[in-house]
Amino acid sequence: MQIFISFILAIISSMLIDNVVLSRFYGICPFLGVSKKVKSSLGMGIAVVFVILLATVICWPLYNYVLVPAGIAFLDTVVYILVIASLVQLVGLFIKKYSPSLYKSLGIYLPLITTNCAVLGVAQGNTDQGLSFLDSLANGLGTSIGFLLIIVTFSCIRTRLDSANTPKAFKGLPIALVTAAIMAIALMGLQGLFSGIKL
Amino acid sequence: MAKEKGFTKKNFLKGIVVENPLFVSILGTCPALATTKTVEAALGMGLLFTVVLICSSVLVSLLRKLISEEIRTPAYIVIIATFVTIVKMMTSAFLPELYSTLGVFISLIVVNCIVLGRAEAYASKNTVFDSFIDALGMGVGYTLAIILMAFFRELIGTGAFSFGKIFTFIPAFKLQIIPVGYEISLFQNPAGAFIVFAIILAVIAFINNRKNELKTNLERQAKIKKQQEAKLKAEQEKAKQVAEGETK
Amino acid sequence: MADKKHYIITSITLGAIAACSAALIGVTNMVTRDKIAQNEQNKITSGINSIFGNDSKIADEAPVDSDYKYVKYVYTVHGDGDQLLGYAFRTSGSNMYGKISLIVGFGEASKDFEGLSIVVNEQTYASTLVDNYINPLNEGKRELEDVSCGATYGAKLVRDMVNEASQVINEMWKD
Repeated sequence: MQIFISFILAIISSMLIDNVVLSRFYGICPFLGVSKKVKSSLGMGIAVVFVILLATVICWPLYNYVLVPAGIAFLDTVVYILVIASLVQLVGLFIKKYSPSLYKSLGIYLPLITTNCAVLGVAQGNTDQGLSFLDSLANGLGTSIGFLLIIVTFSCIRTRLDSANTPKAFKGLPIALVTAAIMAIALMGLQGLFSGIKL
Repeated sequence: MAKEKGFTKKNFLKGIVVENPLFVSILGTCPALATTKTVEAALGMGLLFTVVLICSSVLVSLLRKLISEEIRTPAYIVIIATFVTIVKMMTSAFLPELYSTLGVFISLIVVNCIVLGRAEAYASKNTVFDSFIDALGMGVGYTLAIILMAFFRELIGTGAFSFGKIFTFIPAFKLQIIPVGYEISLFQNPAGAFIVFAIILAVIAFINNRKNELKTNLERQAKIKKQQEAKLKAEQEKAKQVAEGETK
Repeated sequence: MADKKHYIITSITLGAIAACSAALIGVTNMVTRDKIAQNEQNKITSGINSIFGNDSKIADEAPVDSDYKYVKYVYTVHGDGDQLLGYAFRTSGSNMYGKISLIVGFGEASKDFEGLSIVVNEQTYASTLVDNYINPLNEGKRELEDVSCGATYGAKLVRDMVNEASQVINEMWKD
């Protein structure tokens, strides 16, 4: 029971309180670049959830059961980025074969994920922070769902912003960044959410 | 290949102003927001970034005839990741304070779009020296850009500039500019990073808008002047014709 | 046929690049390994200095038997004139937000908790942990139960480590 509670808490805290985009600053590039339309941001978000989960499941055992016993733990970054790059390729091929319609909507975002810091950031953070496998999984799940949540919310706000009357200099990216700042302030208010729960 | 005079200088300067990776191309935003709490951290991040960028650009340019089209991206990723790992180890050994301040963001230079972008777009097509100059310009431009962001965040967020905490070889000192108690600590938080970035981009957009307006205004004035001149000329011609007709 | 040859050459190139990279990283690792270990040691020494004063030095270092969950090493700390100042424990552990490694110092004269310093703090809320828990602890406040931010679990880990270290020191003093 205690493990279950801490699993859920870890997911929620890495999803909301310590949100991947707004407080850890991973994945800002797609956050700003692919959030002009709700549909495309949804596609990007789902693709990121996919790849982060797979990367977590593969990288953690690879580090702890292959790299560390072999004494080459210092190669971690190189191995992770290769795993992620080939994962992205594989996921692309897999989706293309079994669901062409899904590929049509997700396909163009897949190559962008290789250079999304959220994926490498999660894989690297899991082993750098010395998390257990279950905590890594919670971190990956929470982080990726947090990314999906924030990018979709943000794109909804941005579509409204397009028709708003903003000062000319703030049109486009600057006002979007101000919006992101306000969202970050809102999430700051969630700190200490679980202070009542004793483990 | 013949080059125009001053090409190298132009090649270097374009990374700083015209094609600034952060403020014009909006690339490499993650470290620009995450590591700009203090000027010192931003300077460290910029230095490491520049070293990785230069090394990988030069190597990619050296190997550009060897690496064929299909294996481009994986080969570049391996090269970049190698230099990032080396830089990470060096930092950990010789600047441990910088290493613990930047944390995972040193590893994340691997996925910084600027490095891969310069390798693909420039170094894979140009000579070693040109790639070196290009990488140096981009690196310096990026470093200056994140230092500018850190300048405002540290100034408003803490009211002071402190040095010597990360680069421990210089004596530690603190420069209090805003009196204690009047700083706005929001600017040290993530939200402040977004706001500073937004305002800098807005100022740049404002300046560009102004320039464009001036340009279009000048063009319009020139056009009006031309029209007036043409009109005047036509009238003169007409008057001349009338006068000629009268004399006949 | 030419196609096959082309593939072989490209894969060999890629393999060669990867091998060179691995070798290069390996060499760098050999060069920097000792320096990194030295930095770690320096951190421990400066942690002990921050607890026991600048003149203190480590006189003896011994691993603690594995019955304990967090406490790994015990350092005997001597002052400038070789008098016994106290004992310091190196603890390390991790929870779902990352790992923490601490130096927990106990004074011989006061027979009490002397101070705390951080060696490794990989917690997600690393800075809030220091502001809200480590600094108050060093200033003499022992109430770690009251929680005000996301660092709750990190604080729990710190408290467990300190409690275990004091358990070990009490047994040592009893002997």
